Amino acid sequence: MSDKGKVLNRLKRAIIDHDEEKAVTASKKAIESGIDAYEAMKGCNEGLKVLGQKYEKGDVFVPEILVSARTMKAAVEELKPYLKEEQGEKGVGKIVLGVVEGDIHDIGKNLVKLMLEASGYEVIDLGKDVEDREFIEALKKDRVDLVGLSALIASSMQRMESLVAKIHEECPEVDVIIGGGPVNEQYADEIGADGYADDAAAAVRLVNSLIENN
Amino acid sequence: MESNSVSRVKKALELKVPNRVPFFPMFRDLVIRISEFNFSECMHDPFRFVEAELNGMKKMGSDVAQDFSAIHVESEAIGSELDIPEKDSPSVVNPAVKDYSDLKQLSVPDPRKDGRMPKMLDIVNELKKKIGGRYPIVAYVQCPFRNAAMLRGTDRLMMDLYDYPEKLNELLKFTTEVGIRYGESLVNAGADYLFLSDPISSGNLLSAEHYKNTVFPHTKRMVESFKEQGIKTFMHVCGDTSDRLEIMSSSGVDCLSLDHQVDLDYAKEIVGDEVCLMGNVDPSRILSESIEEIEKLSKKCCSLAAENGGFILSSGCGIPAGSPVENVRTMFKVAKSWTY
Repeated sequence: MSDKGKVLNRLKRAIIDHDEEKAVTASKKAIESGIDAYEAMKGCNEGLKVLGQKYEKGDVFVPEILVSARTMKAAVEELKPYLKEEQGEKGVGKIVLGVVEGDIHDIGKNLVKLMLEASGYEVIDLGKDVEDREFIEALKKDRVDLVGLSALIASSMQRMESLVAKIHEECPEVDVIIGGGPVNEQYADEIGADGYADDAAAAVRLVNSLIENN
Repeated sequence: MESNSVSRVKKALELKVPNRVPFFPMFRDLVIRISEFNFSECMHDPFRFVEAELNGMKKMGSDVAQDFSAIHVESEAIGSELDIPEKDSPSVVNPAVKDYSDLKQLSVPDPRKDGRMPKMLDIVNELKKKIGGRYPIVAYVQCPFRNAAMLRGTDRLMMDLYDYPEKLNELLKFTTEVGIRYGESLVNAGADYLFLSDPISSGNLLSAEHYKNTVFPHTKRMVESFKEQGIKTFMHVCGDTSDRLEIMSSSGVDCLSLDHQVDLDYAKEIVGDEVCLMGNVDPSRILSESIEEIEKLSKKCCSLAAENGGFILSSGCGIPAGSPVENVRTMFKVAKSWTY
């Protein structure tokens, strides 16, 4: 393996093993050896990808994802100053998340947030019980790529339909994806959402593909 | 002796065959809605909740009466601050143990005095006065890990597993003591059973190793402490717990409340001869499906796990507030008409 390959591999491993010290050292080493910061960041992302796959298989769980996400953040902090400007723009997407109406467990939404952040996205979390107006305001305030709506109760599903229409009308450039207890793929199609994800790992894949296609 | 809900549930917990399948609806949010109360009113006035619970039991049918569940009573009494929305369940906005150095200053709350605990004792007492002897009163207690999550914040607690395993162990010892003391008070106030809840020990969130080695020893100590005093317990863990059924059962708990992701026939095979099983119609389907479908789903649960007794029909987790009353009543009808 080339020296460059070794460093990138070390970064990837550091993320998987949630070894913050190793991640920071490897990031510094990457910069010192003249590796492009963006490429190094992609190396970290490879680690997260592996973790996402492990999560889907049930080999790792939330604590591991949390500490790896933190490790990723530490590495990104090291690399960020060396990103060329256009790379900074390209590498990050901005996403708004919110629960349409309050529910008992919002851990699903929190996990999606975490996985997206760890994958390098900037996430604006509007929390739970978010009103239509708040969604629209948040989407208009920043240049947002995508919005994720979560619902757990039937009455909020009805609201989802009108909200999706409203977002498409007022912010046509923003993709809308949905998730949560009572919703499914078919419902997402029916109400004209741009996508549906069953769990956090699937949500990251969906966001990646929607943003890449934009 | 004539069979009523008290003897029915008792028999199920003893792994015997009751005269019919008992029904345990976890319908806190729904009873509040159909009684046209706001959630926050019930938080402040315990008798409102009693009224709602009794109303719900009458309208939909039940073999148990539950106190006001899952409102983080212990964590609040210790010092975590709650946000109490008008129409929704409360959440912790300011956890009590932001830093582990805070741990030293905490003391086990006095259930007669601290936080909302006295209100919960009032609820149990009032339920006992109104329907005790006819229906068993089931009171909610957080498992040690759940309470710890509401004292630290769930994300923070999850990372503590790696960052501060020893401090976490100290915190869990503390929350175990809190739960034991609170549980005893609930029983003294009239509770017949304790419902020990541990939503985040779910197989969707936490590895079986972490559950077994870090979380479970404390849960077990709590169950054992109640057992020594002759207090029977239910245990609820959300999500898919298939990989930890044997661990949970080894606590000596009397009933495992299983979420819809667990196959009841699998659970019956693995632990059905040592612990009563309860479950597990998918709550989101109770919300959205037709009566016919709910009847089918409820019958399926009974056909998988009711045989030879030791089974209570329920939802997998909390029934959503917007669910049709008729769907819950249908579950009750299935429980009533099921023949062993």
